[in-house]
Amino acid sequence: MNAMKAQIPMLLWIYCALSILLLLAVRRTRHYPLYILKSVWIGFTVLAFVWVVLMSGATNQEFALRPASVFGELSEYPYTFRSLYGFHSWYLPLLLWLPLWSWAGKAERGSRLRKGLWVALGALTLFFLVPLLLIFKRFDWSAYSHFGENYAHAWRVARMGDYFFNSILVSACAVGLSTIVGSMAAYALARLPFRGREALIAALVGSMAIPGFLLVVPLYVMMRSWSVGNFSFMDSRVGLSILYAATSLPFTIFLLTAFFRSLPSELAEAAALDGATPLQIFSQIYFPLAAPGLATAAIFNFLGVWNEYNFALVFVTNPEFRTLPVGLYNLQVSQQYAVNWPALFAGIVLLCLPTFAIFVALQEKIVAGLTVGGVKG
Amino acid sequence: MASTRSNLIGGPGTLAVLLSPALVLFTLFLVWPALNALLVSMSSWTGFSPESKFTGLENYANLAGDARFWKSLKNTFYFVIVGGIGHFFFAFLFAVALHRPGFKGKKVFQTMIFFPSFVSAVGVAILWARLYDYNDGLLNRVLRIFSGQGVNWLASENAMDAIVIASIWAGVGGQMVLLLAGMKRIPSDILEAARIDGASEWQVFRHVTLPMMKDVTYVALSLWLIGSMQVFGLVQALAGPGVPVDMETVSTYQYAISFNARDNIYMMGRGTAMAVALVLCIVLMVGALRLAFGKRELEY
Repeated sequence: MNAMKAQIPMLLWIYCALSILLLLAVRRTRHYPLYILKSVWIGFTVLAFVWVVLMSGATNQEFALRPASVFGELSEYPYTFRSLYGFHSWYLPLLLWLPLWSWAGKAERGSRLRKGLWVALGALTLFFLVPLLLIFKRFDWSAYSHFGENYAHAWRVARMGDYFFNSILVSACAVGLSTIVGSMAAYALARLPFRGREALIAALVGSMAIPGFLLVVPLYVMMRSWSVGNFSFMDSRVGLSILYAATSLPFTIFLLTAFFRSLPSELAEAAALDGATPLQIFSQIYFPLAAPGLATAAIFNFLGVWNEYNFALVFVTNPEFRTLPVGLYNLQVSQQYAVNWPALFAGIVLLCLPTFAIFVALQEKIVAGLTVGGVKG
Repeated sequence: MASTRSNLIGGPGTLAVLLSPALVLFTLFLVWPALNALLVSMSSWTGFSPESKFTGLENYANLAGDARFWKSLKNTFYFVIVGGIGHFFFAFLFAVALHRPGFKGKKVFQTMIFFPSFVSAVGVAILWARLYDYNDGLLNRVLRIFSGQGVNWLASENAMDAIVIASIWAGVGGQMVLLLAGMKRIPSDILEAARIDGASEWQVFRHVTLPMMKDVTYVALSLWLIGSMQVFGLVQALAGPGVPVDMETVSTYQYAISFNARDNIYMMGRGTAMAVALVLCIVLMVGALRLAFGKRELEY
């Protein structure tokens, strides 16, 4: 029995290699390796996120007992298979799967052979799914339904609520400030002619390449020593927002300068003849017109600031003012002393929720913004 | 005439009002610290006493003799090169796949590959730290079904590979979207013509698609270089507060000696010297890349 078990990996690897060769050789099906890679990649990503959500609902005891949860129970598959069908070499029928699939793909469309092959494939898939379903059915799901208490605990006791609020505050201030200041500068750079304009644009855009870790020590000195009255830049959410706004500026100006240039210039001339002051031309006409560009810049800056971690780690030492990524990092680090895994996973879910919502709703805009930066830049 | 018209739209006064807030922020938080970094890197300074001593190039000389620095530089280059190969292999593969007209589930595919780019490095690191766990991690559970034994992912000899794998999972979407945008600009009749002439998919990719997206590839590669040379969050959060030497990169080493020293001896001057050295590496590498890609403009 053990000798047989030891041969499983060898057989499986040979099988995988042979199937890939077969798939590459059959002309009609040579894209199947790509399909398989796609399925594996998506499957893994979905699995990872489902696992995080599942674990954020587990009890701490359950987490210690079954850290891989239902996905770990999958290692029971061979035994479930044997108890159901009476033989243990579960992978042998599986060998049929890929050749059948490629044959079905090759068979003439609408022919009886093709239909028969698809039915056989379906039956074979079902054959393998039944033990899987049994594992899922046997699994104790009730141990993974403690969402309410876990999130309440994470929110209050692990202080994720405070961190979440800090992150929201810092991101909102930074994005607001960088959008307003950036759009003003971008409008001036795009529309108002002055000497040295191109050089200034080049300097601003080029500073996107300045790495954060070069700035971190000089900034640390500056943030610590500067204060205005009671306000100090160090250990302050407002200070951190201003820093983030400044580091978001180059990209904002880069994006918005291109956007303002694409707007018609006749509007400004017409408004000027009607007696609008230059600042009114900007605030009443061009600022509203630039809304789509402003939104793209704001989304990008929000995503960047929300996830930022290096500066927040260095410039905020007071636990009260930590942002969510730093709060999570500290919780992860302190796990060595007091284990509370569900709170950590609830924190990851909280961290991902806003970005996921924005991402799903505005993916087209994000892709477009990234493309402007990369393709036209 | 031209000057009156521009004065109506905005003269020097308007210019000052619109530009000055951005310039103030820009100068205070980017230009000044960047220039000051050079000065800090040439002084011996603990960051807490106000006085710092000018030491010239001593910090750089010390760096040259610091084995831990060279090890971290080696790790960083390992990440940049091996990670770069992995990133761009999968990014090109997925971009080609998404560009094929008959590809099923394009939208879902793009979302699932792209979304991890927008999860904070801390979240990615915590997730992968659990996935990599030797006894209970998901990866080893699956591996044990297939091969009977797990891999010690975070052991010193595998640590950099573990970081590379996690970073490919998290970051490949960005490069994919960029390359895909480059591919979409290629006029489809050129590809058609190549296919009609009997070129195989691979030949079309190698001799038509790839040369025509040279500029986008250049941008994607230089963005990768700039970003990956500074890799920090993923490593720091995956390893915890004391990053072991085997997975230490230059930026985590810099953080460790500047802000996180165990014995409370902070060496900010030396940390900054390290940053300046790394910036020099980045500049040299991007310059080399620019030379290798030749003229950026492309006519067709």
